[in-house]
Amino acid sequence: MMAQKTDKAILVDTSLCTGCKACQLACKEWHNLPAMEFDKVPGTYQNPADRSFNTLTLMRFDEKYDRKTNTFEWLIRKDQCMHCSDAPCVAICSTGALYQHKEGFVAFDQESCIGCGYCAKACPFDIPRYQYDSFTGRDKMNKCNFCQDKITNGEQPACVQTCPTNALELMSWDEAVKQAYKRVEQIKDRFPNANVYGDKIMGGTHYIYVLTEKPEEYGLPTNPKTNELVEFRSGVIKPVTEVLMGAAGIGFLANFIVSSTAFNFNGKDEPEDLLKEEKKHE
Amino acid sequence: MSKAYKRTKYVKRYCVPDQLMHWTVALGFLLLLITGFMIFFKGPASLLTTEAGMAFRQGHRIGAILFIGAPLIYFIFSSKRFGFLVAFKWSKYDLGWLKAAPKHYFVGGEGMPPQDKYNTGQKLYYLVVLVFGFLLAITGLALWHDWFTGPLGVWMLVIHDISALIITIFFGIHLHLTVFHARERASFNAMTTGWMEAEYAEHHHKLWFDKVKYDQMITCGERKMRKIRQENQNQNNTFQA
Repeated sequence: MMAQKTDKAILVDTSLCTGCKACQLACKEWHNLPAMEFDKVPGTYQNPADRSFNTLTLMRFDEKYDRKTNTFEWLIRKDQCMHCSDAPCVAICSTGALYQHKEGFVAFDQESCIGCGYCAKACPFDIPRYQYDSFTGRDKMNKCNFCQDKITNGEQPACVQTCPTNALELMSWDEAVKQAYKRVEQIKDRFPNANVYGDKIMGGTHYIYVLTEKPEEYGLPTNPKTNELVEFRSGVIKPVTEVLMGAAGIGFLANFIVSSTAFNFNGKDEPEDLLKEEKKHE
Repeated sequence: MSKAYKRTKYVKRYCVPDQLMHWTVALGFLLLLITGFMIFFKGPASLLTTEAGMAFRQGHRIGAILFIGAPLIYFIFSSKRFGFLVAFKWSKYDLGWLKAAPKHYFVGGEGMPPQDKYNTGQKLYYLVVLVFGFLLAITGLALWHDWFTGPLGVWMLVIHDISALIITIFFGIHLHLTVFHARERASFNAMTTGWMEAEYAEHHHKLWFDKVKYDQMITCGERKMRKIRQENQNQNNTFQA
């Protein structure tokens, strides 16, 4: 599946981002998620260390220090679900808790999540995070849901709404990609490695990034792909299982009918016959 | 009850630890089967989202503990811990058995080569359970405890699915033949009571029966065995004296 031009997308321009973390907080506030214990992450303003069940959006701070030129650069990126068009998590989800919203992004119904953990294995960006319980093990999953409730009511996602520098903007997918390329051109002098990330991977993601450095500098995969086994599982293993189980069931039934008629007339199993035989021997 | 039934003789086939192991694994596997396929198919999976569904999801973990724990404990404590190797011993009789089996199980008929304690079909099933049960256990633990993320994690899932499918089909045959098939009931009774009808044993497990028929004191536990050997020894000594 490919992204539709009219899909909704969020354009992230890292060259405009000041790392104020307002989006990180707005996300928590809107989704009613609790604050976490302070994580000490040395040498950076990033906190907490990673996304979690309660932190769906995280400002990542990467300090890049070049010893040769003695220059320093600070890479800041909003990190959350990329909302792929060709989403392996949707394909592998056991219950349909993850689904493609009609606006294109990957929506999530947490009520239907059974915590099987398959989505985290399929995701090329390592996005899904789980709630763990000492008794039950892995429980519910959580991830950015594009503020699907706000989108449905014609509003902007909480992070976009709160961004003070317009580093985050909601627009149509088509428009976001066009804008992204235009902005890369505009900042080429300052950032020679600037590039657009998201429009050509995973069928087009619904977060489109303007990155000032190459994706790998930000810790992003350069060429993420859907694992072929995900397709194999839904396209081959599941139907084959259904057919084989059905065939086996019919086989047992056939054997039951044929064998019970065949053996019922096999008089030797009857007690009286055994008695007769006994008398013969006596 | 008729005289004929009273006359039926039995031979000892399974000891209590064997039976306990078998039935614990069976219970665990049934739990795993039901809950596993509920997660596998999208329809029933959506039933698992409620509080009751939560219990079902735990059922899969409890089943796993029984399924893995029982053989492990058996392996550690039983003196017959390497008994499972019988599943790897195959001879030319086994091929003949496989050829004659379909007809035998549908309409009866002879021509089955003589069999040892476990016939070819039982050995085949044992082999499948050993190999794919092991794979299920390893991949299942990996899925449960998130040993692998990314592509390796998906591999675990796929191996888990395929192993489950194969073992389920063979389990179906096992269940069908022992519980529902008109003639093989004696085999089921053997696993529940530990004793097998002598006539059935002679007919279905000739090689084994010939070994044990004169030796009614087979044989649960080394200690009992030693005591019996001692008694025989004493008897012989008395005769010689």
